[in-house]
Amino acid sequence: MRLEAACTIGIALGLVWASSAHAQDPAGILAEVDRAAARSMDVTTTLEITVHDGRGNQVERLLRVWQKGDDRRLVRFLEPARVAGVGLLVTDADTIHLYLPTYERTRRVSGKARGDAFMGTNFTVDELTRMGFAAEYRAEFVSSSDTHHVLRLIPLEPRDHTHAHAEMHVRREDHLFDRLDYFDERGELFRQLLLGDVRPEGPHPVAHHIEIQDLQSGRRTVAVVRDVAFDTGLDDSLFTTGELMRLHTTP
Amino acid sequence: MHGIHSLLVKLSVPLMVVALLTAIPAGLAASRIETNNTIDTFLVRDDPGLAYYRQTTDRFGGDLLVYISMDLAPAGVFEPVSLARVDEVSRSLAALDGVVRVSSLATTDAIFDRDGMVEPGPLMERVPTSAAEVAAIEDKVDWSALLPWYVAPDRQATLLVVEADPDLGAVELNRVIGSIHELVEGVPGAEFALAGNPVFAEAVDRFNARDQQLFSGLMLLLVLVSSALWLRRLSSAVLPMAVVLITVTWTTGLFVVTGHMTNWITGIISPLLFLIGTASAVHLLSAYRDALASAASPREAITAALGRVAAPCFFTSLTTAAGFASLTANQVMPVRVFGIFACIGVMLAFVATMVMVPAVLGLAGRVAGHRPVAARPPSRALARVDALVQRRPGAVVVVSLLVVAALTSGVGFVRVETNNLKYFRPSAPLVRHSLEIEGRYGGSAPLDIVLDTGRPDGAIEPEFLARVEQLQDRLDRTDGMARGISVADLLSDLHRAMRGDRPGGDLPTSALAAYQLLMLPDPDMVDRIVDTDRAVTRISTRFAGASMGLKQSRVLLDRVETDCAEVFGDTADVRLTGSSVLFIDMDRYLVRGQIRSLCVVLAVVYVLLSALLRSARMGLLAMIPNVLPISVMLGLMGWLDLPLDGLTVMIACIAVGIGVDDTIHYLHRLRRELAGEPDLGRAMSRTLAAVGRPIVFTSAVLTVGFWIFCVSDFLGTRNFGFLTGVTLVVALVTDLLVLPAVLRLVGVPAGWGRQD
Repeated sequence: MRLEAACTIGIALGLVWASSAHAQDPAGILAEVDRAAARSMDVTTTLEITVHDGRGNQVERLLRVWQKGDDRRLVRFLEPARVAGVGLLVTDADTIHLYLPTYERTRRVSGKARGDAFMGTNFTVDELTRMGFAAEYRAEFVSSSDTHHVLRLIPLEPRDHTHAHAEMHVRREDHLFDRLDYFDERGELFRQLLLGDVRPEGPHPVAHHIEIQDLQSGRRTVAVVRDVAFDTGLDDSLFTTGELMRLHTTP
Repeated sequence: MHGIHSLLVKLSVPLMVVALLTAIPAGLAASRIETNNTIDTFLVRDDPGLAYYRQTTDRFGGDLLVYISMDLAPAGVFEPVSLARVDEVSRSLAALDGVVRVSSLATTDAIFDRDGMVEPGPLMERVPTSAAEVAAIEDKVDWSALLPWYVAPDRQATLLVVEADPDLGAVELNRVIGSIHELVEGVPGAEFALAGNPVFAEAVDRFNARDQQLFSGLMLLLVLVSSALWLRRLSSAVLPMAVVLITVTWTTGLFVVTGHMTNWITGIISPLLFLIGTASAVHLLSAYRDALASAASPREAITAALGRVAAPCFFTSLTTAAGFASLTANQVMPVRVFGIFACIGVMLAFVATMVMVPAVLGLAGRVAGHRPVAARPPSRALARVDALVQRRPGAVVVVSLLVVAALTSGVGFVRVETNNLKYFRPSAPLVRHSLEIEGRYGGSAPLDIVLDTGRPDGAIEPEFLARVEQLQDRLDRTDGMARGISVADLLSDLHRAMRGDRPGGDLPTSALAAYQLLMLPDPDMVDRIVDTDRAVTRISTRFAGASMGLKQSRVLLDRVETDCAEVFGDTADVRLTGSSVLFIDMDRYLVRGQIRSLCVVLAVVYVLLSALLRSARMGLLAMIPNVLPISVMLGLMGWLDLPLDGLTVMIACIAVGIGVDDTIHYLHRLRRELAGEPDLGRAMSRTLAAVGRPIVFTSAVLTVGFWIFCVSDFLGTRNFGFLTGVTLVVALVTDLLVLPAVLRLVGVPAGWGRQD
């Protein structure tokens, strides 16, 4: 897999909220991070994405994400016009459907693609669609400060990841993580996920600025989060290939 | 002038202390000298092709690539054990410090249509353990338009491409290459071949380091032996050695603190200074020994010796320095840098001589047993030369001109060579490996064919993609070219994966479809093939640059350009670029630089000679022994098929700069002998008797010194040493035979004899 799974844009988008738990053991802290991500029935949000290619070029994208429970996601590009309608549907861990309007059909994509870069961004499919770390990582305690716990996350299946380990900076106050560093086998940092501008959206704190940096290529993807709505009662029919193929941009 | 010499003698000890003190920081700086033979150092900075190359590498990524062929015979590539080895080696390579990316069957991403499902991701998700898993991988390779790039047609070998960190310095890059060599040597069950520019640079560095140590040692030995022979005392020979050691220390220190790194061209500066830096010291010591016989004290003898040789030594140093300085007219950077620092070194050698020798001699005092150097029996051979010139000057000139004309006629056959692999013996691993990779995969020299459509999405329009495929088919059918990979290959895989079992062609049917398809792969992969606007793309390919000379490579690239023009017409602006292309284009800079430098050095030497000899006509005649050897040398290069390259391009200027010293010594003495002497013949005889032996001796030492370069394994250095030595021999012959014969025929200007 190209990446690293683990963190989830769901979390990043603020699909998590503060937990009252104060677990101090690393596994407990990681469980709190996961638990925080699974407390709403559904969420809808819009991402304004800017991809910087490290050579001074940038492209902009607008996309919308619908999520229901912890296993169903629909991601659809809204702008620019040439990519409008391109979408991805995740209905369970191994089922991903891809839709390119110019091909007028959906194609099932191997679950292996979850670690791949998502549609020209630095996000992985996993990061856009998955929740939870505990199932994939063993946590070790690195350090603690007044504001953060730092955990080292070691993949349970090293071959499924291109990183040797990651370091997660978890906010003590709400168990949101605001930084995830990925290290290679030589112990060198090669990729970084940063979350900022955390403020409440309804009942939950939400990170409104997400940035992924690929330190090797110099590529950087910045996402600005807006129009976040929790528990709007998204219909199950939204998460179907038929809906994926619809060209309109709002369900 | 006498006052200056006296002052120099008086201040010699403090000046020597200053010289030694300045040598300490210079030595410390010199000890930090680093080598850099990467391709960047050889490129012509203001070459428009280089600007385009930089633009292309900025846009699509660099070509600092190491090609590794992994020969897995007899099992072949598609066996579990073989693919396990490929995986293991790929992982080990990727774990090396300084390696950014390893592309191989084990690491490459691709997209497939498999069992009715689009399957993006790694070709080998995990190491296959069964024949079925291997067959699945082989099927994918066969299905893909991109992946066959990694596999030799006979399927016995596979290609791994290692991309080094472009920010690495030359030393770190060499360390990476050394680690790669070490790593692959320890892998059982596979034979490896390595090629690519970083591999070449590392190999040259190894040759360079060995050569520099060897040359410096041999040159010092030569200096010691020749000085001892000339001065007839081993202890006296230590002083010229000290002079060249301090000269080399100063020059190298200056070289380092001004931010330079040595390479296979500038690497010969130090050995060269060892060789030519002693001349002034030997002349001064010789004059001192002669002066001791009549001087009241050593100090008086030193002053007298300075009075006799300081001016000619300054002039000979100046002309030698001018020879080197003329190389700065060359646009090839290492040649230019060589010229600058060799020029500085020669003048520093003069300074070191004038400071060190008087000081040491003054401190040593009079040593018993000194015998004047001049008090040697006249040479019979020189007497015969004199007799021949005096009796048959016309015949000497005619025969000499005929020989020169015959040898010079080879100039038309001189070829330029910029393929650095040609400097290695055919048996050298680097050459064998490069040829093996070229044989298996079509090429080892990276070549980018950049296609600029000038409009957004122009590079992904169906019609354009079809033309790209058409060109790649032509490349595939061209001897010495690899098919390469392109945006058409990538889109073909993506399109067929999305199309699935639906009927249709192999390429997307609209630019919009292509645009959306390019959202699917890793963006880094897309960025290396097509720009963000999808207006400019490149075909990354290789050609057999290792097995071809410059001329063949040019013919091949011309053909590729013709193919491009036929296929693309005016639909795209096509340019060929890559480090190998820049090297091929360097020939014009070498030829232009040769002409410029020669013009400069001949003009400067003519002005200096005319000034020194106080006669424009004598200055012109004095050019004869300097122009003829150059003609002969260029002719010999043609007859012996020794190419004009980064090193041999410097010979003419160096030979003029050094060879003119003999002319100066001869004519300077002749002018003195003519004072009050009405008979030119007698003056010439006395001149030859006086300076003939030192001229022959110094020329012999210099020739032997340059021939020491022939022990190098690096053919370029060997050619340089051999040809420079031959040129000096010819210069000696023209100085002793042709110049006197011409003077005998045309005479000297009335009153030219020096009266002072």
